[in-house]
Parts: sequence; C-alpha cells; structure tokens
Amino acid sequence: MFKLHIISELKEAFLNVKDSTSEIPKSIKSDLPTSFVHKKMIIYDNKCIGCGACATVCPAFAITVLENRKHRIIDINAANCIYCGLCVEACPEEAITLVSGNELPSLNKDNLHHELRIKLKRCEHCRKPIGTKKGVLKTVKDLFSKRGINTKELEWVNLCSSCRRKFQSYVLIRQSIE
Amino acid sequence: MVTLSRLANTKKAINFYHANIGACNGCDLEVVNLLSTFLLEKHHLEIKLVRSAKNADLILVTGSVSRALAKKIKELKESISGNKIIIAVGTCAIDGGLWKKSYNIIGGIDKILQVNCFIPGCPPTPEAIFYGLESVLGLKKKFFTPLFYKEK
Repeated sequence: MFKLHIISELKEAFLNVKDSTSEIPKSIKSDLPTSFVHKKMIIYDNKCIGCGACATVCPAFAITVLENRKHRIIDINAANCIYCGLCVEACPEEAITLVSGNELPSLNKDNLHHELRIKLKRCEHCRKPIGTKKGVLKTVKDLFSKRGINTKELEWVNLCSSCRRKFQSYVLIRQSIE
Repeated sequence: MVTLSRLANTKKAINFYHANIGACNGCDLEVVNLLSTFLLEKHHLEIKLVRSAKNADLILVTGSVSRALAKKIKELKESISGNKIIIAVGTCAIDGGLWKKSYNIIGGIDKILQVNCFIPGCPPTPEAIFYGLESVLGLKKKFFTPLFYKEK
C-alpha cells in the first residue's frame, strides 16, 4: 500500500512537471462565491419576483420572508449583511447586485432596513396561496420559451397542487367516457 | 453633547477609546489599519488613545453584547454615556451579527447605550469606518442618506 502511494505521487509530480500547472479541485471552487470582496449592495425593487431564494442561502439572517394575507413581505436588514455575495448568485432575476463602494455607514438604524411587498397569487378553485403573481408569470414565460408550450393550454397554472390533481383526473375521466 | 466638529476645528487631539466586547478581532484589526493609514491626515485629525472610557470623547465599540456583560455595562452607564460620541463598528455591534439568534446574546449595543453612528460590514473596510467618522464629526458637507434600494 505504502509503495503504491509513493508511485501515485511520483506520477502526479511528473505530470505536473509536464504541464507546470496545478488546479484546485472543483468541489472547493464551487463553494466560494465569485465576488466576496467588500462591496455595496443595491436592490432593484421591480425586478424581484419574491421566490425567496436569497433568504434560504443567506448565512447571516439578513433576509427573511414573511407572508401576509395579500402580500409576501421580504425583510432586508443591511445591518446584518456580511457581503458574502451568495444571494447575488442565487437570485434568478438579478435583482440584487454588488457595486464597488463603502458599506453604507449611517447615523440612523432605520436607513439600513428595507421592506419589499409583492402580491400573492391564489388558487382559482380553493383560494389557497400558490406563489407570487410575478413568479407565476415567469414560469409561464419560461415554459413557452424553453419547451414551446402555449399559454392557452396551461389552465392548471392558476391552480394549487391538490386542485391540479382533481382537475387532471376529471379530464381523464371525461376522455374515457367519450 | 460635545460636538466633535468643534474639537476638530481647534486642532486638539481627540481622546479615543476602543472597546472590544467579545469581538472576533476582525473589526479590531480594521480599526488598527485605519489608525495606521494616512486617511486621518486628510482633515489633520489627531487621535490619542486613552486607557479608560471616562476620559474619552469618542468610543468605538466592536462585538456583540452578551447577557452577563450587559449588567456590568448598565452599572457603568452613567460614567460612559455622558457627553460622548459612540460608534458601533461591524454587524455584531449593531444587531448581534452571526450570533443574533443564540441564547446568551441580547443584540447590539444600541439597546443599552445611545449610539450615534452605525457602520455595517463583516468586517468593514477602514475607508468605511473613516466615512462614518467624517459624518459624525461634521466634516462632510453633504448629509448622506444611504439608499441601497432602487426602483427600476
């Protein structure tokens, strides 16, 4: 075993002499965020669809997601932010960006707090909240652009998961009778 | 309250006290970096490090407040908080930071003392600390409001 280990090491050494370069393995590379330099965070309100991907990634409890009767509220505390840049990678809509600059020192604590309110989409049948209106619109657009499905066929988009099953079974029964 | 802008204009040395309340020494290093740079030469500021908080004009706090330490700060509150400018540096000093949800930590120092300036960052750059210092001392002509959100 010991000898084999030495041989494998020698083999790597010879290979490195040939190329004269060595790379970090991919598993380590992917963990590091691309931009973890100290930067200023800027949020675009109208781009956000309220998916909450940033809140699940954030290690410092800077972003939290709450739900109201009408709105989905996204609480952002810039005071807690550690500028790791993980939320920037997670965001599908590029609503969060990092710009070079100071880290927002302020005289009031309230200046560092920001709230986003995005309207909820409810199921047409049972009035359960499915997601946000912007999020549902985005899925419809993606289905059309990537898979070529028409929006007219997508009646089940406005339904929740349990209602979808009922709807589909109803359609199947109808087809079998006809 | 002592206006330090007056102090800055008279060209006296500012009595400066650096209080570490259980920080990880990340913010402390950045404060030392600030003192060693030439940024302070911009306004001809002189800073004099003081051993006790009683003699200080400007107190710079790093680290989050634990429950045991909060009692002792409350005892010293009268001697510390009068006629002094207090700056909270780092996320821990503002709101507890990464230890926000742990059982032994109350939160930031602003729950006990009145804080004049908040500087977020983990750790903040020396430039950011200097930017906060400038605004507290009144050396900046423009009063800034740090809007970090835009509607586009």
